[in-house]
Amino acid sequence: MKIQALAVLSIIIILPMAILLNSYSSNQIKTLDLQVSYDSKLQNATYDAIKAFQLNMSNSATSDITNSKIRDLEASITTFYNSLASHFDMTGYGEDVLKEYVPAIVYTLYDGYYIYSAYDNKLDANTSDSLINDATYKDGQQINGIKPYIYYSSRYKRGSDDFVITYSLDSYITIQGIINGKEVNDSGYLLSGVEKQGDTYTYRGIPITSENGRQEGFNQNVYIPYAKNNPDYVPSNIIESISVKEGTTAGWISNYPCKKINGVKYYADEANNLVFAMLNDEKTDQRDRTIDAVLNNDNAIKYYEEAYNFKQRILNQYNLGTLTTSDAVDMNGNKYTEDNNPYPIERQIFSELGNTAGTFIEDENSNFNGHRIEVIRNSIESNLIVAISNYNKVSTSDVNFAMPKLEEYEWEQLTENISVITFLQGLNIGGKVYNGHSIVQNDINEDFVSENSIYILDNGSKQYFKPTDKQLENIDLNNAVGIYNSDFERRTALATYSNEATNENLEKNVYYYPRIDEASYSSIINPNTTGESTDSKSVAEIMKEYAEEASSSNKYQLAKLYYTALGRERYGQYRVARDISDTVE
Amino acid sequence: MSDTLITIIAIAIAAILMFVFPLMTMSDRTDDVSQLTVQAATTDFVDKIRSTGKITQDNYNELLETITSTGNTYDVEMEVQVKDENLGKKVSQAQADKIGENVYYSVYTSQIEDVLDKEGTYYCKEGDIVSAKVRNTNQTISQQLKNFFYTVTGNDAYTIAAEHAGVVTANGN
Repeated sequence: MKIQALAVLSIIIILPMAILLNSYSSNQIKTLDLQVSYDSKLQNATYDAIKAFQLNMSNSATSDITNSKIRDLEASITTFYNSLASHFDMTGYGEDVLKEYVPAIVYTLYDGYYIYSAYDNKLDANTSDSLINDATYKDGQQINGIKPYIYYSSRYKRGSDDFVITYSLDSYITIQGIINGKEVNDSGYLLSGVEKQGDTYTYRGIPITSENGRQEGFNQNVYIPYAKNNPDYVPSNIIESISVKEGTTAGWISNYPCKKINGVKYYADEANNLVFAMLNDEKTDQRDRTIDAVLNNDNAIKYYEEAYNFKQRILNQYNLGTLTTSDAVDMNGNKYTEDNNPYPIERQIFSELGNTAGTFIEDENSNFNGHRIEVIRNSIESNLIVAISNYNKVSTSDVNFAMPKLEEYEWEQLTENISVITFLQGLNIGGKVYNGHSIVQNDINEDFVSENSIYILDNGSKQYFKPTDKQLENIDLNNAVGIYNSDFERRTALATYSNEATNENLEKNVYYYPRIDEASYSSIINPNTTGESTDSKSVAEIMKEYAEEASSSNKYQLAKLYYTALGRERYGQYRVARDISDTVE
Repeated sequence: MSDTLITIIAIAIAAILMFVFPLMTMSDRTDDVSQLTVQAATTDFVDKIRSTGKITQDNYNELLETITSTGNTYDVEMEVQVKDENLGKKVSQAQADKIGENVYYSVYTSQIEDVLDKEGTYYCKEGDIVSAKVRNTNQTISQQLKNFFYTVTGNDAYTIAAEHAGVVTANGN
């Protein structure tokens, strides 16, 4: 055979192979490109959803009430779908088309979570009989919506005791059930470090005192709209008058000392001798509260007092010190078998509560915390698997939906803060079917005071820092105060003008910061300038070390400010079970 | 005489067709696979930063290990655009119906690597923008072969490149 023929023959063999390989690998690259771009789109849409949730929550005075929260969640879900649609160049399609590919969206909140997914709408006989013909909902109809709230809870049986403990993102728990033959419904923060010395409560040896509400750090800006039913009222301490139509006043941004109790901020208007709160953008006077009560902020003391009393009840009244994870039972009250036990490591849940040294129950490495994370994880996992696999029944697409495996760091995010997980499955990306999920944390929220959410404000320079900032060593901490991070976030209010005679209705958005201080460049804007290894210690761990320093030292002062602020803000949160009658003065 | 010439030309063409052409195709595919790996690693790296809010030494090493496992050398460029809200606050403090503009300043690869060396972790906050760009710095076999026949690529041209960027969605703690 001539050499030319050999060449031609080899081309005949190699060329198709080359072409095939080429198209195969370029297909693979295309698939990967698509997958990567879908991942980004999903993450961006999820971020938009959490932003919408944040904005609605921080601008609503009632966001901690369930129906208001559901409204915020629904708005957030709509935002998610709109954002996803515009990322996929499907603007205008929205929820109806995209929900085919979204088996579930989960909002993990402070003490439980909501799952948004498809479900069969079951109506009871009474309701379905009385429905009119063109009613929005029908019996047995498949709809997408938010399912009932599920708590992070676990049931325990020990002798005749049978009760449920609901956990949360921090050490707050609720116990409901029968203990020692008595019905119990109790809740509180678990803190080992709290002690009582005389009339003073101490935390990690630091005496907790009440705070002076006249300090600069307690003053907050608030938008007060002009009230038609009280036309003569003009607030004091006006920062700016807002007008929508020239020559008229729509409202004012004013600055007052503020105290938060059970999720409501109370402002002290001393010039008018009045305490008021804002409810749905309306000023509501609070005649049963005095200016002095707002100016004397003892929230922190109450927080530690409650925790101290709760500790005594857990250890002495309920005898939970010996409760172990093997007392846990499933929701029907049956013991877990070896195969289905979600808590394989045996732990004494409350064993560290009475400790005065070593590991405290509120520490990250405690048995309690380990079990808390297990409970949250088990609860979310088992419910989500069901929700996603149920989606197969509802979905009209022929994709088999299954829950993807979440990585450890993703579980960490979920058990650490309020977050949202979204799933997007079943889109064809050439060669395979897309199966993605995205988790975004909500770091700024009004529901949960995490250990990382307390900043230290220097009243003098009006600059705020993370408690671990080295600059704080050179600052007079007697003139500083710990502030909750969401108070530094911008708020929106709607200023309106209406005139019935001329049929004019005008409105505009007003923006203000409750606190307009400057963020520290060394710890908040770019927290990488210390040049020192922090050994990735958490704020809580560093504060623990600071609390052991000499009481005259700056670090000890810092720990005191931090623990006081943490207690104050946690006590200021809305809790269903809290008795607030003693806060009315 | 002319027969010999034709034979020589034929041998040359046959050599190119039988050896160089398959080699080029295969090395092209190798580059494609490298591209696939690099693209996936870069995206994974950036997305992890976006969702956790921090660049850790471990993640950075993982990126470097994955991309160098393709047998090429790479240049990795990172940039974090740090959001500074302080200036925006001043604007809306003066006028409540205006949203102040945020300002971003950038931190680049060497600064980030410096922090990673000293502290092990580079922290970002929500709202920062992080981006990473990876390019090969050596000449891959495919590039060398192509350069041999037709010089379309300069010395610093690259064939494997990946980029990914996005907004950080969580405060690193």
